[in-house]
Amino acid sequence: MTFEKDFAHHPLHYFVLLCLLMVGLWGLFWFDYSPLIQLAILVSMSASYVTWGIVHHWHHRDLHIKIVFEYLVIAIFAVLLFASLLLKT
Amino acid sequence: MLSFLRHLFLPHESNNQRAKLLHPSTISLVIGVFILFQFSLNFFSTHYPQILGYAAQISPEEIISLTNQKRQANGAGPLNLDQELSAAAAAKAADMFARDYWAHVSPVGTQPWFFITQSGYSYRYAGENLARDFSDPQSVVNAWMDSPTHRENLLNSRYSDIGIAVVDGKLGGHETTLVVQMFGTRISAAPVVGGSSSTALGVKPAKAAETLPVPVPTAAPTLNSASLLKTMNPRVSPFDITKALSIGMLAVFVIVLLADVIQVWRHKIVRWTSKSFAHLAFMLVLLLAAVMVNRGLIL
Repeated sequence: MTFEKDFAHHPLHYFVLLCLLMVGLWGLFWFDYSPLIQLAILVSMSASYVTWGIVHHWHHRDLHIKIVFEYLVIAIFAVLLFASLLLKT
Repeated sequence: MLSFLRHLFLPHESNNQRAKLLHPSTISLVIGVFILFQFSLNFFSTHYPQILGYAAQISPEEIISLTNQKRQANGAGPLNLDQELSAAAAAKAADMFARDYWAHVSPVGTQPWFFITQSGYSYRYAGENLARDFSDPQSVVNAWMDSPTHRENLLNSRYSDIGIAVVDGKLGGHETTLVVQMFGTRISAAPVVGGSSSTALGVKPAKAAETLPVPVPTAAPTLNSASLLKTMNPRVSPFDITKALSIGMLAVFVIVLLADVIQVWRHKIVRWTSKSFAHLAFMLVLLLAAVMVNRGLIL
């Protein structure tokens, strides 16, 4: 499956992903005075990303534990990176 | 060497047409190394503050000047520097370092108003803004202005005086620069406005001094730790190291993912599944967010 075909089959999926990420980014900018709120936004964003991946690949009929693991690892990486930044005092 | 780098960063037969860096096992390894690095950084910043420490360049005068600029831009009158309020702010900062807390009310229940009355300032209205770990005055004032409650306090037209203390010390085992901003209006200076009070940033509203609860005496404030740390002259901030590392790692992932997406598209590589575009979008957003994250907390 190439990306063009994937995108052509599931344009709504990628639109939802874009919305999730844009709303998250806006939240991170808007609440830049509160690291704890920013961290909460990032955790929510990462959890949504994993959920998006699971739903997307389930629709795609290629959902596999390895794929879930990959999304999870990316999400954990994101949370760790930002937790270390936001809570570094 | 070249083939190893290609194996690590570019899709190739050797890595099943996907850069080795993007394999979950490699990302897990990166996470492990990052955690180890953070533990080491915390250890060194706690035990060797002369190497990994933090020293801010925050001038109290500039905080006052910036505060007054914001007030005038929003139609509130400028505040006058009051030495008694500054002494109260310094006493509050010293108490925070002595008792090791980051809050408006100390662990033994001492409220900000105690330090104000102790300094000899009889207030009708009073308020307090706190900040820590910022590197410059502009960032401190901007952070307060971005927070609705701090902004309300900073622009409150009921206040006529301001006191500031900027003190270096150790809080929670880490070096920090604490900024205590106190606002006030003397009893003799303001007319009574229906007994109302100002509410801001979670501190208790400032009412007439006589309504305050009896405070618990605090330990004598000392600024010794501050002067000690100033002489240490810390050179590298752990936050700056973490930020540079985070941005660097995210940039590498973004570039590798971009290379992956482009190469797969150009060579029409057919994969069992396609995830790189989603990861690329996610990492790009993270990179943007990491660039704009600033140090510093307000309360």
